[in-house]
Amino acid sequence: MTMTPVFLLLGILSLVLQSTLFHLLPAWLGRPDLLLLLIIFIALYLDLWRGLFLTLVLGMLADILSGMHLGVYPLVYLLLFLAIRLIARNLAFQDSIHQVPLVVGSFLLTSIFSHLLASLLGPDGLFFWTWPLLLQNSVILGVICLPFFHFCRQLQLKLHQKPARSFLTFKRRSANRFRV
Amino acid sequence: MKKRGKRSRQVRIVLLSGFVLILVFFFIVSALGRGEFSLFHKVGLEVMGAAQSVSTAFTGYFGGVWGNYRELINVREENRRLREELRQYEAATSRYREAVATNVRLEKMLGLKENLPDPTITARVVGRDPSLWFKTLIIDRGSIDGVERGMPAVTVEGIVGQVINTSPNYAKVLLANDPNSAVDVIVQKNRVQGIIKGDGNDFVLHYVLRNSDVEKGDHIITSGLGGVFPKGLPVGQVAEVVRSQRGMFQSIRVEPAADFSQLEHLVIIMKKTSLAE
Repeated sequence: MTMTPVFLLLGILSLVLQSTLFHLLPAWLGRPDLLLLLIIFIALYLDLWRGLFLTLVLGMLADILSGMHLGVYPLVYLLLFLAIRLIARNLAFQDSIHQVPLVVGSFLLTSIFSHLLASLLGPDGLFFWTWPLLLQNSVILGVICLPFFHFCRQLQLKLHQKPARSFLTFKRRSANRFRV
Repeated sequence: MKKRGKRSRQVRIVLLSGFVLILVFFFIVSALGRGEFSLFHKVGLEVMGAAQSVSTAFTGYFGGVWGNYRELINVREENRRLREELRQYEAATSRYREAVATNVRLEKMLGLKENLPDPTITARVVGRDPSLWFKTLIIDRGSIDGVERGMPAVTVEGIVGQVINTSPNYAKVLLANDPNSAVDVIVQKNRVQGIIKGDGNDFVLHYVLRNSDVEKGDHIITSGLGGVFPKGLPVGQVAEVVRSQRGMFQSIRVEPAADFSQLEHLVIIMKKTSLAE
């Protein structure tokens, strides 16, 4: 139960970092899309309904900080989530070697799809397109995805091992109610 | 048993399809509607705006010190004490220089505020758009401060954009170099009219006839006709003019007067009637 709020917080932290600190990084480091990595991790490792909920909420939060049209990010992230779930049934994406092309491909596809949506909704048709930035960011994502997934996996395992705790702790009584 | 499994799978597929359909419906309604923030978005902006404020303040404070420190990493060990002293002096100087620069900037802003006709309010930039395609900012002023959708944002250098969404304490500004933005402008020297649109980095001046006299270096200012920006605010300078043999209009690239990558403080012009209305 604690997994959902923890990953939600991680998503919010990623978004805040992307919109503040990452703009101060040198240009060659780009602005890695941590939220996209988190969505891919959620699609690969979390269960369906929890994943759907997190993807939808994180997409809506991304809408707040980015872009003009509401609904672009929830749609793009949800389609990505479902596509990864579908593909991961038949391919071994749990192995780290396959995760790099998955991340790079997902980044390129989501960028193209969101660009297409922005162009469709914009007043003058096609938006500007930038291959160098796109390729730079996809390479950076490919490099950082493995440590990021490792961190998220460790966090997930830790949360999974931790027993669920109630806010109200009751004293456990013995079964014999008649004992004085 | 097998039948039951098949049935549950069908139910899951139906539920998933329903979920996607609802989402597509939600997207269409959001896109075609007025695009205003719902309660969820407003609460979300409040939470993330506050987090961005903290993060911006943190990076602003430690950014200068970290920058100075980074430059000193590769100096030899025996000069450590001297370097440490130097670092401290440099950090102090950097802070003083920053304070002077802030003072000059705020003085200029004060001057600008006094020159602008409508009441104005100064806002700090707390966050920037993380995506590659969109150009927006989050500022630390919201509906409580009187900021409304459609209000223009400017700096001393020139126009910046306009407010598109607000929550009680924060607001989202669409930058003028975003492709969704359009501003009615004139060429200062001969009053030729056109519309400035963003191309992601610079501006493109549209609808200027081929026979109009526009040259590199000409100053572009707001015309005041769009109902958003007051007349006479600097927009940019013509960087390139291409007169193709076909077509009615010239292709003109304009370099923005404001540096969109260096924005820290903005002035919001509190117009009585906003664009949204």
